[in-house]
Parts: sequence; structure tokens; C-alpha cells
Amino acid sequence: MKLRINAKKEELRCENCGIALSTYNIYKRKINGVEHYFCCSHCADEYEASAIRCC
Amino acid sequence: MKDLAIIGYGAAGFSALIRANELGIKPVLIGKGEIGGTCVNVGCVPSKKVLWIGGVYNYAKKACGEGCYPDFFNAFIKKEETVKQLKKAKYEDVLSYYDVELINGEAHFVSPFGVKVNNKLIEAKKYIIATGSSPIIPEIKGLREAGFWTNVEALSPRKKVESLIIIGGRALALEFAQMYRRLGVEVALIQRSPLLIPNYEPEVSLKAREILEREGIYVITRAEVKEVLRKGETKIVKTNKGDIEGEEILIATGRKPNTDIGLEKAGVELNERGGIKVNEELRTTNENIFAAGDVIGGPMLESLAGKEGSVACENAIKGTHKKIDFLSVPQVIFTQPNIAKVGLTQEEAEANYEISSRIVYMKDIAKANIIEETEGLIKMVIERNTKKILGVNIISEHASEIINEASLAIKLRATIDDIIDTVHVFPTMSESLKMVSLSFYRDITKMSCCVD
Repeated sequence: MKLRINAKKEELRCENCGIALSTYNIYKRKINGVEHYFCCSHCADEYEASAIRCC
Repeated sequence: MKDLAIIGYGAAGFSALIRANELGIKPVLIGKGEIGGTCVNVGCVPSKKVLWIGGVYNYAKKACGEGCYPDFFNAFIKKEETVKQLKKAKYEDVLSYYDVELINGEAHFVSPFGVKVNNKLIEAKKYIIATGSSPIIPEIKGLREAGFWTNVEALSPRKKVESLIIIGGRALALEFAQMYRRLGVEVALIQRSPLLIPNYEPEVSLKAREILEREGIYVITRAEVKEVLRKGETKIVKTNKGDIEGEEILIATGRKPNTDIGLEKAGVELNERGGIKVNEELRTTNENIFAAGDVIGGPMLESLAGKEGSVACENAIKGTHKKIDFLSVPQVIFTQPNIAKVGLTQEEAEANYEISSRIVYMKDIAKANIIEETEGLIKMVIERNTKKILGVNIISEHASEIINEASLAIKLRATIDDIIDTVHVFPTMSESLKMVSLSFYRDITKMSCCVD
């Protein structure tokens, strides 16, 4: 039998600004032991700063 | 009492055996199961053979412009021929060249210097444990009742399947996904992390996904498998992202070290990865027992296992203090294009260094255009001030060959200038390493061929 798929794919987006990520703009940073994905280091800095404020 | 006992006769065990003979020692070699261990029987050799067969047909498809697949069972028959040939040449025949006492059986430590095999006590002054690893089977509701494949069954299938659901998203999962897709099988891949191969650079991970999806492999990420159900001849995998139904399930969620050999009786402790705890000289917490290969629980690579077997043996017999430079150990996923890495990723390097990084796309490499394989990229990370190369990730045709030069560069703590000052053959894919080094100084998309 062929595959029967009823499962959704998810596009990877910058966890700070929401832009779609590609091989041209992806940036990874581990924050509090968890890997996060951004479009640039500035977004990662903003996200990390807000994460620190939240905690 | 014997001088040396080696437990396990895979890559690490054989490497230790050969080194022992070179040092004038006749070891006892204790092994169970197929000689040669995982690599030659159910690992690198058979998987790369079937991947290669699929690759040949893929080239043909490109050339002829038509869909064509190899015969499903014939691919595995050819695989078996290669396994038999290499097992004989590289393991069975090799045994006859060396002075060794071979014992087939399962070893269990009964004291810090004694093991029992087939109810016989063997005592040795030194030991090397090289018992390898086995697939991890995750605790998923209904999985065991429904049945599943591991790499073992997937490399010797008893039935032809039309669809395969792979749980996992690292090296093994990617290789089997492409292998089966290129045998004409519909494949879905379920990965828990946001990215496939999360231990690689994220640009490489995304490109890998893009390439697999273009071949028709259905990839879902951030997916948590909740349950597996059997429905007649098919199996349903239920996840938080929805359900996938197919003929068979392949579990490719990693491997665990084989440590069930009575280590507590020998005073050998385990590490946080569940492998045998060793120091940099591969010595365990028992000073007379060393460990090598997958059983340590580090990177599970055939070539590294071989190196570790040799180093452990030398340190055990000669009392030397040899270490392995783990930073320069390369690893490859043998999909087409290959995916390869050595050293640190940008994220890893940023934790300890001031770094710079560059990416060059294969479309800007002359040879990639000549052979019409422009898919992919190479990324390099360097220490900003010294310009020393810290890491290289590649996804491209022949990346498995290119990575060796990067590995040597890191081993020698070379800089990008060392690479740039080395004349590379034009046109080659290896030139990509020079181009990415040059890209730290100039825009390589605006250069003519061979500009230095």
C-alpha cells in the first residue's frame, strides 16, 4: 500500500520575528539548554534578552 | 594468565588485535555473533552498497529523463554479495594472518581480571572492551505489538514494501529514507526536533530536508510519536501532528552501547551517556581495562572505533599515554549529495571563541557546474584573530572526500591562509574548501577560475 498521510508539516520560522527560515538566513543559538532558531544574531539577542527578563 | 583479552570482534577489536601483534603480544579475542561487528554486517558496508545502487539509477534517471528504479530484491542480493566478500577479505582472512586465540561466546566479567566465556574462566593482565552498540528502541505505546524494523531488518527485508515510515531524523534515518525512496518505496520521516540532523549546521540541515523532500520523502518535524497501531497488513503511527499509515516502520532513533557484560564485577563505571567511562587515554575506572569504539557512547563511527582500538591497545600494553584528537574526527552521512562535518559548528564554537563564519554555495564552484551537481553548500567557522579553522560542514556531491582535507587542516590546526596557499586541482569539488577560505577575504562570486 502507498502511504496515507494525515499529518501536518510545519515551516520553520524565526522564533523572534516570525520570518520563514531558509539556508540563507538561519541562525541557531542554545538558550537555557534549548536550541532555538532565528533569522540572525540580532533576533537571537532580542529573544534572549526578553527570555532573561521573563525569568 | 593471558597478557591481553579483547572483548568484541568488530572494527575496534580487530584494530586492537593487529596492534597487539605488532607489539609482540598474542591476545585472546572473544566475540559473539557475526564476525566483523555492525559495520560490515549491518552497518556502513551494506547500507552504502544499497545507497550506491540507488545512486546509479538516480544518475540514469537524470541522464535519460525517465523514472527508473532498481529491482527491490536484487539490490539486497548485491548488497549481500559485497558483505560476504568484504567480511571474508577484511575479517575472516585477516584473522589467519595474525597470532590470536579466538573464542566464540559471550564474555561476562566475574572479577577485576577475569571473564567467563562458555562457562570457562579466562584471566588476563589487560583488557580492551569493544562490544559495540545496538539500536535504541523507544518506549512507544503499541510499537512492540505492531512490530517494527531496525537497520538489521531494513538491510535484509523479507518482503517488498511499498511504503515505509521512519521514526528518527539523524544519519541513519536520512540514509534509509533515501535508500528506500530510490528503491521506489514511498517514505515518510518523523523527527522530534525542529530540524533534521540537529548536530550539523542549521543551513546544512535545512538543505538536507529540501533535497529529501524534492525526492518525494514526506518529512515532518517537531513531531512526537504518541502511539503505533496495527491495522491488518498496515501500521499507523499517531503523532501530535497527525497520523501516517504505511506498510512498515523503521526505528532509527539512535544506538546504545552494549555494556551488559558484568562491568560492576570489574569495577568499570558507566558515563552519563550510558557508555563505558574512559579518560583521554581510553582507560576505564579499572586501570587495567580499556574501552574502544561504540561502547564508549561517543560518536559511533567505524573509523574512530578503529583508531580507538589501536590507541587503547598501545596504551594498555606499552603504558603510553596516547590520545585521540576528537576535534579532527570527520563524520559523513552517505546520502546523495553527501553530508559531512568535522570540528565545531558555529554554535559550538561561539561558546569558547571569537569566531567568523562563511558559506559558499556549490553553484559557485566550477566543478559542481561541470558535473551538474550544484546543490549544496560548504560552511567554515574560524577563530577570528588567529584565522585557525575550527569547523567545516558540507552538503554536496563527494563531500565524503572533501571532508578529509578539512579534517587534516583541523588536525594540524591550520589557518585559512594555509588552505589558500595550497594549490588545489582545478576543477575539483575539493576546491570548495579553498573557495570558502578565500571567502573570508573577498567575494568569491566575482572571481574567475583559479584566481588566487
